Amino acid sequence: MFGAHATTRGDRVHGAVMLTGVLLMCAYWVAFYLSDVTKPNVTAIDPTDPAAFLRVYMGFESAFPLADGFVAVSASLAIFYLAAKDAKAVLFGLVASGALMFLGLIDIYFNVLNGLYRPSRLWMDFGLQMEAAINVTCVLLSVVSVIRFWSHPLRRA
Amino acid sequence: MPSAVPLRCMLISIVLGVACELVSGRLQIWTYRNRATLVSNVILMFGVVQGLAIAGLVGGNWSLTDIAPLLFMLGGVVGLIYEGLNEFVVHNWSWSKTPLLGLTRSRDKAAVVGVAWGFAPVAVAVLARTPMLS
Repeated sequence: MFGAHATTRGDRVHGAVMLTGVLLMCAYWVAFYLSDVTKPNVTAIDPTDPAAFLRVYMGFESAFPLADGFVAVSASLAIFYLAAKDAKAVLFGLVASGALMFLGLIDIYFNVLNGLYRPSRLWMDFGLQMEAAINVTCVLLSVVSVIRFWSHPLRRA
Repeated sequence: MPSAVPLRCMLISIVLGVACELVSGRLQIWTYRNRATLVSNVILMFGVVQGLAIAGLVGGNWSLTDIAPLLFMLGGVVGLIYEGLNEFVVHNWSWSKTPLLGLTRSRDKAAVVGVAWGFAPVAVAVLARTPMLS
């Protein structure tokens, strides 16, 4: 019905992990717009001028939703075609993985440049802890997805 | 800028859903297994999910330029899950043989329409903020 390639347990796990990632990405941005739970404690980061840092941080973060939307939709298409055992899963999977790595690295370097990974800050700030966890997840998920999609039998279908 | 009241978003989205179903019916793009599915698609998916929840509650009073990318992300992801569930699990509607944007396979049509769902809450948010409808 869907093609010659059977869905393996690995595909189902990969699809479930990607779907979880997409749903968490959506939840993050809903929380970003509707609450302060994702935002760092700017007073602790820059006690002398927290408002200035908040402007920089919000300006930076607010530029992400369109690109994150691209990643979320591309990953959803990869999951969709993976369920259909269709070679387009590889195309959209690699597109989503590359875009996720790109976004993750931009976020990581912003955090490095602004000292947001300092242990003293990470230890006390839930917003920064979440940020660091998201950064690590983005890089790991991207690398694993690229390796998996590139070696997938559907690539040669 | 006028605020986007969730109930108004829901009503606008239902009107949008009716328009989509009329166009689809006229062009025979997809057909439902039964009429109840058509009604629930318009009321629940268009009205409650895309209109009330996404465009209304998440979109809220944010300016369109701030919130449009998130609305598209949520609408598209929910739409792809919805179309995927129909395509692979429940089969409540089916695609005609008429090509859609040059696509002939039902899974490709479902994928394109799944992404197109992303424009639904954006369109609702735009309409809800026009002075004529607020």
